[in-house]
Amino acid sequence: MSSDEFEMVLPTSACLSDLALDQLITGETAGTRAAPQRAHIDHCGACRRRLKALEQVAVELFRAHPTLGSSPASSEATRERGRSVRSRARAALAAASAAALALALFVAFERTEPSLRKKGSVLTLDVFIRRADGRVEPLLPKGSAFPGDALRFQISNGASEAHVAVLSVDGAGAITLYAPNAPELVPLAAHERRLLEGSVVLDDQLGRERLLAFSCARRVSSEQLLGAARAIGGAELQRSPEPIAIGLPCLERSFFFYKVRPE
Amino acid sequence: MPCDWTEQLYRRYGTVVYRRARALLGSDHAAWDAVQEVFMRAARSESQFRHASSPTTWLYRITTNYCFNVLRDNRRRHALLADASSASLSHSAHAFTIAAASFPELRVNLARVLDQVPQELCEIAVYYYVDRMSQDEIATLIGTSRKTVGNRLREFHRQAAKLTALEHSDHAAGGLT
Repeated sequence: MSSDEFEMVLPTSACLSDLALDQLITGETAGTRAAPQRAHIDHCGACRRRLKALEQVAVELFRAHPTLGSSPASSEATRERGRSVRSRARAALAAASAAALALALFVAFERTEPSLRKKGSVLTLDVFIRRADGRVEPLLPKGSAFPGDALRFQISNGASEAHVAVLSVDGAGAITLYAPNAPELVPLAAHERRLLEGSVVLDDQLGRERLLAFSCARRVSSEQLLGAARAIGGAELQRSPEPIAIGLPCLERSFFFYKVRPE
Repeated sequence: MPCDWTEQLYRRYGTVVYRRARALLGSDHAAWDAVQEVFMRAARSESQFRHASSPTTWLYRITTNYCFNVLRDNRRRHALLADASSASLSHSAHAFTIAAASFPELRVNLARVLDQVPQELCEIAVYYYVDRMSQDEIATLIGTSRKTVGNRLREFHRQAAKLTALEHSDHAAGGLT
């Protein structure tokens, strides 16, 4: 996705804002209320380009995540939106068929243990990296790290007390408990956010590495967690989409980063 | 969670929320988190949401406020880590700039500004510069008068320009930003 979609242009009195364009795209502004806006778009190159850019975001997102948004639209389609009962019926059908997948987003970070499924409870994992030159910065998903870099982890849990840990599955499929360096997982109070003790220095194994943060509803030993993960196997953990059923009452959160050699 | 209703809402407005969150937070990952959280909030406030005259404006506000909270939290986390590691933080990877062609000196890190400029001023600036909304639209969205919007925009300019000047003097002195 190019950054052009997020370009910022000063508004003029005549041009349509992103809000107005979004209301057209979503069909919220329709019929006679939309007529003056469409007339403006027809005569304004800037607004036409902006409308196309916004629609393009929707198209690209739809391609990448078919459960998100309606099917790819064009300016013409936007113009016609709200008029065609047939196209609405098609969209409704598509929506219905994708319902299960769409809802997956809302529970993507929550495992299936009913006791842990609380609205608004979101397990978060933040990873911070100290580079060889001493810089400390957040490590973002799909970011790069070098052998020798040090990682620290910060976890926040939801509305329940929890016991937390961070596992790694490296490019060779080796599973390692990064934190805690202790026999038991770290207990967290409800809504607590904690920077976990100690840092992990990355070894020389290059490739895509998956970090898994676990938040367990009851006390779990580090050995139990490692054992459950190893029972699944490193290759499967690397490959599997979230969520992963490890057979313990734990929520999980994961992301990938890439360990590469410095140029 | 009312599945059908939420699912339809998500399909219709998901890209709107994603795009705005992506613009404000600067990463796909953070934007997806925002989509998840915003639609959870919508589901929790279903009644309020259903009575909103425009779901899009409702989602704009919820998304903006959520993103502001995330940006603020990120800054606090960075500060925490700096304390924990006794290391200096480099520029935030989530840095997002508000750039205005008519106000070139206004190029400020939103996360930083949020720490020092009242949120109601930042919110209006985002609607004006990022979403290109008119002052009338902003007034309707946040339920105030156009005059108030204009005054707050001016106040935002004043405070942001002051911060920018401070940053410039820090740079000149070789200090960290």
